[in-house]
Amino acid sequence: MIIMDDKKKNLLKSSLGVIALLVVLLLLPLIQTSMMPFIMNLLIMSFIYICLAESWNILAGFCGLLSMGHCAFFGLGAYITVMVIIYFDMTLLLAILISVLFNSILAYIIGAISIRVKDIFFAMVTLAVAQLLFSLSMQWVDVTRGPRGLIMPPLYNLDRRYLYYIALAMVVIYVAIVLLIRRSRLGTMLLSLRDNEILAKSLGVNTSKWKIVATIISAVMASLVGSFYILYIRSVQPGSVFTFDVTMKIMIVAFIGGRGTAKGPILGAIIIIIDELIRGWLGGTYAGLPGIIYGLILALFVVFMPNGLISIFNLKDKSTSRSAPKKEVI
Amino acid sequence: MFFEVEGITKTYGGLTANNNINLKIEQGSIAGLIGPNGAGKSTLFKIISGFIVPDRGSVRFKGKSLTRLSPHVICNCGIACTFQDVKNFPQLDVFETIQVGAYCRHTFKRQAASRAREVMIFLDLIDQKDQKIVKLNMLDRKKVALAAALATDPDLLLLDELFAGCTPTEVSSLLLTLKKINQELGITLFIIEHVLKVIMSTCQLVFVLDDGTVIESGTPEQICMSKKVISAYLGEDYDASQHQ
Ligand SMILES: Nc1ncnc2c1ncn2[C@@H]1O[C@H](COP(=O)(O)OP(=O)(O)OP(=O)(O)O)[C@@H](O)[C@H]1O
Ligand SMILES: [Mg+2]
Repeated sequence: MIIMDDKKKNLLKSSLGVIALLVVLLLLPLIQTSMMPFIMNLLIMSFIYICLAESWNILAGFCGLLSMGHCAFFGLGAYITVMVIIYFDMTLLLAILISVLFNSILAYIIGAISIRVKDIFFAMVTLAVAQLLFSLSMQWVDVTRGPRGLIMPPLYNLDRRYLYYIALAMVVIYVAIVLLIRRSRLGTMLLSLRDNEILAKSLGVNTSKWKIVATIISAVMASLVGSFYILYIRSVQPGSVFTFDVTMKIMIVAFIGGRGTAKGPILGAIIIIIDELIRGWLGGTYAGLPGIIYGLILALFVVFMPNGLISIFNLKDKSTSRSAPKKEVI
Repeated sequence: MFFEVEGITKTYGGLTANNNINLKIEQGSIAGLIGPNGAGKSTLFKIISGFIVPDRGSVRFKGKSLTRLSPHVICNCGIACTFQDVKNFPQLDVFETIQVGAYCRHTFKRQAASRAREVMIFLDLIDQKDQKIVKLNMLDRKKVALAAALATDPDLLLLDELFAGCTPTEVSSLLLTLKKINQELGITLFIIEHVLKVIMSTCQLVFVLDDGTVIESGTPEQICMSKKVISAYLGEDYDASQHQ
């Protein structure tokens, strides 16, 4: 009974914290200072990576599938959205839908060819697909304009504040989706196949099917972030979406926050803020640095805080149940 | 025929784990599979449940061939199993583990949850509902594995050495449970067992496997009297009459 009360108290505390944070974030754009565009950019970039990390987590956290080319879904979402608008003159909504469709098909193909074989193939195939899309977007100059990339027509020039709220809404929805999945049939199926695939199969779980479903959901989530990215940044180049740097950032946000947790990426986004700050500070000389810094940070976290920043908040729970499994899930 | 194995053969390199195995089981009965270590018992169960593809032979269940179907499809057809090395989901609690099995027949969460609850009550696991599996003792882990398999609503349940490592009291209580599963739920049981008490007191029909071949089959009493069985277990030179 006492444990239940503690649980409830914690839940209350954490939900109060979340509500306070949301109120601050909602009111923030109303403040009028010259720093505002800068701060808002920081936050929007963080929101983008939180959403991407949530999407990545669906595979890594629920299925134990390591997507090493997650930038592929994100970049494809951005590219197809802008291409449909430029070349086919369709509305934004239709462009987003078409990019989602393309990403679902891509996810299905990746899932169907890799998952049946062995999970490690999934990491390799996603990595290869990202590389392939990078090359394609570089080489197919007639359509993608190569390294110069594509620019969004001025028609969809949204106010920054408006974009900020869209991004914030996406974060809330994405976190909610992950929490909902955890409580749904899908979550039970995915966790079972991640924990023990043989036992899951023996209990009638069609493991390949559920993994493909998860891959499609994850890809669609990343694709929508890509569509938002092109609306916000207004241009897209192969180097800004289809590189391993992007995937690395997504994984770092997920890892630092707490791999496989719904709220972890929110904490992990701190790294994006630091990244943007250093970028603004060092400017062009920063170019070669990120890889090294990210690698270092990731290594430090894997060694010293394998459960991510979120484990600080869970510390109390852990001390009460010492034999609790180390890996925190969702 | 309810359940029928025909000419199942499986070799690993030079080793024949299963050699032309034939057997039939009646609906509603309890059948046993015994044999020395390495006789090929677990291999046969894994072939039946779809985890190993046999080199030759077929498995027929309720008039349908199961050969080369995936494990999850076979489970859907109504054959559930538990493993010799008791498997579990480390991150899931007892309730959700059993729910995984319940989702085999139920699409919606509420139905699966109520099915899982039913099974937990049936196996007297309701007190451990919210426990993580890793915190349970071996007997409870086995009961959870049994419960998850039961939650898939099988017609035939394969149990691979469920009683291994149990104390005599635990054996008696599990034994009652098995009889309940067979009589109240009408589920046909096919069990691999080293604990002779279990075989003797439950099975109507016993198959003896040695070196991948069925060397004898019959009622427990017939098996006990069989020269072939005695020599398989105790060696060729053993003279049973001296010990009666
Ligand atoms: N994957 C495998 N590769 C090679 N040989 C195997 C494999 N699985 C089982 N075997 C061999 O097949 C034979 C039968 O194994 P099996 O596990 O079916 O025996 P068992 O009757 O269940 O024995 P036990 O009573 O010890 O559980 C053994 O000699 C074993 O070493
Ligand atoms: Mg065995």
